[in-house]
Amino acid sequence: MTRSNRIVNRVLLALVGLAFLTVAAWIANRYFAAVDVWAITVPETQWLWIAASTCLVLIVLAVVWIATRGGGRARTLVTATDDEGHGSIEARVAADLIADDLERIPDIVDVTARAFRVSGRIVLELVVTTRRAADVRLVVDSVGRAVASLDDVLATRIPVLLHVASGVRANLAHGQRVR
Amino acid sequence: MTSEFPIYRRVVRRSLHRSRSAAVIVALVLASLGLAWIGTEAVLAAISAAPLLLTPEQIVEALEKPGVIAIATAAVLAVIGLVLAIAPGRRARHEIPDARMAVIVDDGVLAGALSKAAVRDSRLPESRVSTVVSRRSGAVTVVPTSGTLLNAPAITRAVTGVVESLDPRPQLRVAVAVSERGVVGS
Repeated sequence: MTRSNRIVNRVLLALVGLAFLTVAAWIANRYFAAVDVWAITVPETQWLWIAASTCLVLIVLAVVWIATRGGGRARTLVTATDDEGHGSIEARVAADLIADDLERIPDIVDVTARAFRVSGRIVLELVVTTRRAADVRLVVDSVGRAVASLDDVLATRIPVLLHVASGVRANLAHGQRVR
Repeated sequence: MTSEFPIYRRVVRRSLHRSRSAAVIVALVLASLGLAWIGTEAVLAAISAAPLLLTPEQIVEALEKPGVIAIATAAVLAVIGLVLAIAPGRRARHEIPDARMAVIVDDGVLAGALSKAAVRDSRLPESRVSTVVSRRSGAVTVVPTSGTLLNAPAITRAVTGVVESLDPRPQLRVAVAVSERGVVGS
């Protein structure tokens, strides 16, 4: 759940694909000579500098795009201001509250929480790692109760994304013996 | 899904599909390396220094007299890029309707839940039940103990009950298969 613009990602992949398609078509045409296209001539010094600068600009753009992926994280979950001042609660606190509530559910191995900003709203993402054979209904309902008590603590309702995941740790944890 | 937060539709859609960021990063890193090499050769040729690998003249010559390998490589890379751009990129996850939260469950976890129901009902050891969950179907395979009968309809009811209680989206159709050959032992 990051802010990465997915459509632009796909457009970039399509552009890279089309670029390679053009190269493939070009050199295939040189090989089989179906269409008459102009030949590439050995470039003059001026064009060499232009080519080098274009490469540099494209590299800088690519590095900028790569470096800006994965944004949208937020530290603060809720901020409230009243007569007595200004208070805020971090996502970590919410994670601890939820994890405390879920400690006694045997199917749950691990709980982590992250806050994300999605179209202007803070969304709390809870990743709950379960044992291999978990009672999913029980897990979802337990997290639902924990979130309800979080609502009470925060005195407001924030959007929550629950992701029930099977992690590496879940596979290593011993399965419950069922008779 | 009915819920108090309209944002959930967006959140769930983003969780069920890949962002393609990893693919874009790999593509851009490779493209940057290629561009860096071409740029360096261009500068070296412009200042009349010795080339790293090939001079621009040799690059042009290679492009003008290509081999089948070059064509095939470019075509394969083009297909990979276009497929990654167009394919839906679904993750192996299902959405579970909930009044308060947006809930996403990995297919592996769903498979575990179905296996658990089958194990409970059949009283077989966990190792005898395996489940595969794909986008629209769940297949539970049960290996019975030799010489005993399994109540397949009861297991099917138990597994279907779990699916109905979860109501995953896209909907799952489950099938329970009892293996023809049993195994000896508990």
